[in-house]
Amino acid sequence: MIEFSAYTQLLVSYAILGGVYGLTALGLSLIWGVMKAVNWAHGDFLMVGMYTAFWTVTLFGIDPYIAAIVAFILLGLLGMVTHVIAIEPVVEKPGGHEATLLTTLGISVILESLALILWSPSPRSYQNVYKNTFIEILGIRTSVAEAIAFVVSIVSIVAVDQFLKRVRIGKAIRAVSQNPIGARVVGIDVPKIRLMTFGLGVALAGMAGVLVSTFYPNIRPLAGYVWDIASYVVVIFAGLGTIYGVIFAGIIIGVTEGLGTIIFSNAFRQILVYVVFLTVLLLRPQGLFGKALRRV
Amino acid sequence: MDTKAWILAIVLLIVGLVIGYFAAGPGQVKTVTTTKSVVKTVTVTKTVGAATQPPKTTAPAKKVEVKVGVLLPLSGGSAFSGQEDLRGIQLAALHINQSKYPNIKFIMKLVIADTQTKQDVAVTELRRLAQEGVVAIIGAYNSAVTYPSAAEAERIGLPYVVPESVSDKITAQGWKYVFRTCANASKYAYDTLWAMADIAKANGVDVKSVALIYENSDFGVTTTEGLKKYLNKFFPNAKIVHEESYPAEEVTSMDDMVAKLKAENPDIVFHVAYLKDAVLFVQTMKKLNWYPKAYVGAGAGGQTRVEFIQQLGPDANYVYTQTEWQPDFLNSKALKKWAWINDDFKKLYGRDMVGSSALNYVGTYVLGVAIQKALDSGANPNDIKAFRKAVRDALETIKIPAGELPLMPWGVDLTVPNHQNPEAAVAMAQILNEKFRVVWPIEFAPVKAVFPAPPWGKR
Amino acid sequence: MEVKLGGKLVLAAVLLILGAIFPLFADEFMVSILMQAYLWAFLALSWDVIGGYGGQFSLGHAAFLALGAYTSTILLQSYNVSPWIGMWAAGLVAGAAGALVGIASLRLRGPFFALGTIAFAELVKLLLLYFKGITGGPLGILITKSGPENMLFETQTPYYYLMFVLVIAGILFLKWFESSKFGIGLVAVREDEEAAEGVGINVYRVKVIGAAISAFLTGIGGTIYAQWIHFIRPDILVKLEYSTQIAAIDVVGGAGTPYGGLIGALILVPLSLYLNALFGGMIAGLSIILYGVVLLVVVVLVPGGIYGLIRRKLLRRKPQMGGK
Repeated sequence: MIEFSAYTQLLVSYAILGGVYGLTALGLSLIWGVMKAVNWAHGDFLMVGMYTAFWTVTLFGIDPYIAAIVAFILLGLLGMVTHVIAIEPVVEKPGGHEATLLTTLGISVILESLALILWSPSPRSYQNVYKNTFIEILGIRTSVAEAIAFVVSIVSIVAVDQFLKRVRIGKAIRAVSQNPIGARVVGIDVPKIRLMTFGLGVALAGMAGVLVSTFYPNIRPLAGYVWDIASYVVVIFAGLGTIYGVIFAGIIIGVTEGLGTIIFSNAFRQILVYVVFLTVLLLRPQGLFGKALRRV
Repeated sequence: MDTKAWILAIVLLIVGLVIGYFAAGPGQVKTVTTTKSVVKTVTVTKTVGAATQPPKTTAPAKKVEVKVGVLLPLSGGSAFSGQEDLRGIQLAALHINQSKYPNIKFIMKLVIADTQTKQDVAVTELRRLAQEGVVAIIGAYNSAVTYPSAAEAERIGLPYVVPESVSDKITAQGWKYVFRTCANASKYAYDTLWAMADIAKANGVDVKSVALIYENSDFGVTTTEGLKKYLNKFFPNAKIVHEESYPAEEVTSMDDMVAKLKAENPDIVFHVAYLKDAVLFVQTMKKLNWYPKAYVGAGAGGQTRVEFIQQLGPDANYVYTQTEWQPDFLNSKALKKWAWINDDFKKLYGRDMVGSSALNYVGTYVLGVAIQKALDSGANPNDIKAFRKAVRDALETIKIPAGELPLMPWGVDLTVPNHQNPEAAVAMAQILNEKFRVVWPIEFAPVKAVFPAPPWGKR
Repeated sequence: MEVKLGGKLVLAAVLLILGAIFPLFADEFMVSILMQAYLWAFLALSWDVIGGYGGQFSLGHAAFLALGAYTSTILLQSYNVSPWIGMWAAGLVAGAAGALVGIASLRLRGPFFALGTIAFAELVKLLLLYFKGITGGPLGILITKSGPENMLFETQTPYYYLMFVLVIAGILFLKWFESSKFGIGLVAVREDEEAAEGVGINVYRVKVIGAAISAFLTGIGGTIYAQWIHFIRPDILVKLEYSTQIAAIDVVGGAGTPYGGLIGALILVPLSLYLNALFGGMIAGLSIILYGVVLLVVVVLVPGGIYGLIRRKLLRRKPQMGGK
């Protein structure tokens, strides 16, 4: 069986993976927490981010981490357009949750098919040195690409948290999240704040897409799907309205998954993940780190 | 903000796309990725258009036109494979229509349908194709889609040629109208073991332990069942030290599997995988600094795709993979004469054929031969029902010896009761210097296999 | 209202006759497309019980579809039980699973419920894969029997009439349901749970039974789907795509109305199948884009769905008291 050192290696590997889960979930959590709208197209924005990395790296030969900034800006704009088309018109109406779910589903279908038509279904990839360079500390190895993704994940979560606490727009976002009617009363332009939030959430998704593409193979129209599932699980675990919760939840899920596969089989792991997910959802719908919810 | 204006803009954009597409003419615009991942667009005019006009050079008599239905996943989860398959079929039809094969003298008109990788869409499209008067169907890549659509074809009485779906069950139903030109999953497994046993023997290595890793859908499960069944026939001393399946689509990390393998340290790892999981597995082996004596892609899945080498670069070296076809085949004496097919493919798409396009090319050729036989027997192509029956009867008499079949080293024999071509075989390639080199059958192989593979540090 | 009644009856009669004689002058492909529209309409109507009237946005109905399909198919293939009987067993198994989801809906609201149902569907898929001995695992089950006594027909027309009758039955059921005591209770719970409890409605009972009815009907739809396609496999049956399609059809047609499912299915299903036939061989993916656009446009611009629009524009009926 596996030796002790192998366990520590796996623990680190899966903690890093969990950190990446946190990063992919951050944008989703922000949008859901603030606007109470589920962004069904989240995975597809990740996919567009991955393609942004592919195109900028292959066409202009720039570093994938600069592509992350490009993706942040581009996807931010795309997010705002999406918001104007699909979210703002329905978010305040009765049944707004269901309506945003369906309109973002429409956006998701459109993005996937456009990617298929414009960029063909062939899986793309770009070469980068980061996934082929390894760091070794005390016999524990990881690739530079994964390590950077983990660090960026923590940095961006801290940055978003500070942004919400210190910057004026950030404070306004928090105000809208906690009490939209009160925010309006004190003169905050609520639709504008929603627009900014959605744009930021999608921009973060785009950036996460680029970082994932530095070490995870296959950029293709359906590539966002797998990270999509992980993101939802993380958001539910963390609970809404908590930014730091996302990273903790991500790491907990990553490590549980890793240990789960060693103890049980890989085929059984998935069943376990969904059982735990449903249990948390039913017993603690506010998540592990969230505050108790008022009625949604 | 004006929501309606935005929606109008999107609708206009899509209408524009449609109009733009038709304005571009009847040819198809294909995006082709070259090995350097530089994308260029090749406009293939008249791939299908040529079918409507007889070529100028030959045939004073007016050629008969026969419609053939193509059922493939052109969108959805398997779109990239489906579009690759379509290229093979279109090229075969083009060659038939250009009279490149003197034994086939009719015009093959393709009617192409998209299954969206969904079984109900496939069945509906099959009925539409039947109604449009196709005499036979080629398809449909995914075994799970081929299965119900072939059942429907059997009911309608429409010949169905399966050039690539491998699930054993397809030819185990006693269907009268369904024919498979490629090998089935058991045969893939059998040939994997046969190849590796030969290679190990040639290098004087005694294989004591193997591991089986496979994705958990139909493809992985049936191929692995075959591996387990035949393992001790070829490796009498080998033990299975580890066996594990995983979901190919959802897998985000394979560290756990590689760590377990590293602890067990088997001589050979057989991996039945799609592309993404295969790439991730090799990357993870490198990360955890472990490599078996041989890592073998069984079932000609992800490891046999050109993208596998593109994504991994030099790390793909020494990987064994089953392969239905490689450009390397054309270096052998027996198959040199078919090099022009690959040249034409390169002209159209800017790169070599791959296994799946070659398999579909061959399937289309076989169907072409059968349709010609039906025409020769005096069947009237305008009496569609009777003609389908005639094509079916002709398919049942098809026997093409090795050497006469384009591209492949094997022959086709559909006279067997279950319509499963027993002669189809699968070669073994090894990636050397970032190229697929055929290493088995050994007497046919241009290069010698490297066994065992060097560890990561010594490459 | 009374004045319109005669007109309505005439309209209904004309539509019924048109539907009944359609296979006589349409070819088999058209019959097959309309048959699929009815199938999806029936599934959407089933969804409507919990999703529309109950206001619980389920995105896991593909799981009930699969449970129904698997129950009757296992009964048929392994125990030789005709699907004419098996479909009731299928409904019961799916209904039992639906009751579980109903219990969950007591704790989960809005998007949380939607996510919970997605996870539930995934779990059903994984369990179907895991218990290979009964379900065939990833290899699926092929229906090898034949004959009308096993609900297997050579042509599309019998399937067409089967679904035609089922859809009419479904609409009549919903019409009865929405004015029944139970249906009114369900709508009351949707509108305001606490108020409903205040007037003596047993919220627990209403939610659980509502979900069970919805799943029961979907399970019956699953049997017919299996009998029509002849081959079932967990990963192609329990698709999120199918779950969302069921919900989308009902919302586009008009959720919480007896006709919404049929209207949505008659628009979306032939549209997507027809567009796929038209463009699938040339620009794969285009038909799916238009599907997305229709969904987006209807949800944003036509709240209440197409039936709501017809009711507002043509019948000029004032919205009912207490309606949304």
